[in-house]
Amino acid sequence: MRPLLTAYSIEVYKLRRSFVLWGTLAFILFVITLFLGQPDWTSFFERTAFLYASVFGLLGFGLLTSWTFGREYADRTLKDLLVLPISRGKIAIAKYAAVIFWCLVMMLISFAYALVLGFATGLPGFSFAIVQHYLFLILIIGSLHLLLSAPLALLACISRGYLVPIGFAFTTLMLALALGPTAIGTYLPWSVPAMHLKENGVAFFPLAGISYILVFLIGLAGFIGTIKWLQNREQR
Amino acid sequence: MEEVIRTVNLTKQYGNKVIVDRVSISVKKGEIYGFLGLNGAGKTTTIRALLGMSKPSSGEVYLFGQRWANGNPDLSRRVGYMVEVPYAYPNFTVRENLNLMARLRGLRVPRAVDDMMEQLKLTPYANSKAKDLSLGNAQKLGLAKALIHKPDVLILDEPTNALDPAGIVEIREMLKALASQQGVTVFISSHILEEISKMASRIGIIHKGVLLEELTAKDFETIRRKQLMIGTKDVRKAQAIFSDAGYAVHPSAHNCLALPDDHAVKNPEHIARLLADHEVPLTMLKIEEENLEHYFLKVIGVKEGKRNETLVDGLQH
Repeated sequence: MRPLLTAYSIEVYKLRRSFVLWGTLAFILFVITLFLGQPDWTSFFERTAFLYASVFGLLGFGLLTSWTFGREYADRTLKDLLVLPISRGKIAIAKYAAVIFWCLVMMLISFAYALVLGFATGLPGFSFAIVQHYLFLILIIGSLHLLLSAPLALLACISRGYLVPIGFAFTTLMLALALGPTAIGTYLPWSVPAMHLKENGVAFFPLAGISYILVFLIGLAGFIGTIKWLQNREQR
Repeated sequence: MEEVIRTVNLTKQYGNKVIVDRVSISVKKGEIYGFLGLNGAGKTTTIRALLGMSKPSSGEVYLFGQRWANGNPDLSRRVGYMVEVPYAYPNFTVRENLNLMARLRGLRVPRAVDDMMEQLKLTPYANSKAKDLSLGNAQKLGLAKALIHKPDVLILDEPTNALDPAGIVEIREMLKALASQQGVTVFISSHILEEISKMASRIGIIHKGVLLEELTAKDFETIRRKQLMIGTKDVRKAQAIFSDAGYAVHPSAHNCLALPDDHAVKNPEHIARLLADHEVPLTMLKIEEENLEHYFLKVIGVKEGKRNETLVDGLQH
């Protein structure tokens, strides 16, 4: 357990020192600032939550996952990790856990920022029930995105870098935006987070149980695939 | 003496292409084993198998008598490893890179890091980012990462490639000291053959995946050819004098004469006197030993000839 915790704390540190993390967060905060013109707290949070359900989630979380796994290939430091007395599976778990940690931190910081911004500009219609509702919603959407990010880790390992998974994340965003509002969206895992948000409002194409199962299966396949890839593949 | 590294008929093939072909090596504790081969000979593939990064197609690898399999933390703790061009996290400083490695190895930070930087003279660069280091210092950082946990066996893949002459001497002396004083076993691959001959206690020559020959440094000393090289202002006259005196003599590059005769090699003063007696001024007299490159090329079967000489000249200069 201790090697895993050490590897996890080091991955957290490596991300903390990376431009990708803070650049992504700065971008998220900047975009939230642009939504200030909303008439009340509900629509302000609704906009923020939708951004998390689409661009922030698919691209922001995707970027972080792709970077965390792909940088070891780009910086050619993977071999250093593979000769350590820590199993390859634990290294993959540590990396994924660090991604989860920082995505959670990003969500909380940006939510707190939205609150501060709302109060500072005197948005009308505040209630704790609204805050609680949207915080909970954003965390659920974030969890769905974390599951959807797992295949990007596998792609980073297969392609030995971060460009292919980032490209894939862009593609999924396009697909989610184009096909999400259609009947196909129910079965397209990448459109599920945005549709989950809409479920709380007006849903044109309601999600089915299978939609969430698909997201879970994609996440599981990505996670197990990454571990197996690192464990079994010849590392050049 | 304890056998630290042993491979038994280690074979690695990708598809139909055999990269390493039934290589059996045995390296004992405290030895410096030089693994020589041209680029593409199979050195790195063998090393990857030794490190458990690659699964042999057939054959076995043993470290400290235990069969090596992926994810054996006990064995990983005893092995240090560095690749040809060592990489580090470019935006982290030397200290940060070493801190990460030390923590992942379960060592005390910053003590282990300070000791290592001191030992490799990296302390002045402690706060330099890895991306700003010279190639030589980047190489030292790679070595520091490999040595930080004080491994029992050090596996180095072409470690002196990027070093300047002073750096090469420094690393060589350090490796020799590690082997002789701390009993660290060093497995070092290289194609810089002279370099290997100066530090290795045993040398294995690999070519096209096959281990052609293994010899000790002593073996090599006795095997390699020696000849007396003579420089003079009148080469023709000198050649005639030596021929008359019964020496085999042949002209060499740069207006020199080469005398491969054993008597001449062992008694250069006779040769000097012979020329002085005939009033031929002597400008140079030295015993030249066949270098490892020559020997190596001979072993791997490159035919003597222009290509060989060009290659050897290139390696010597």
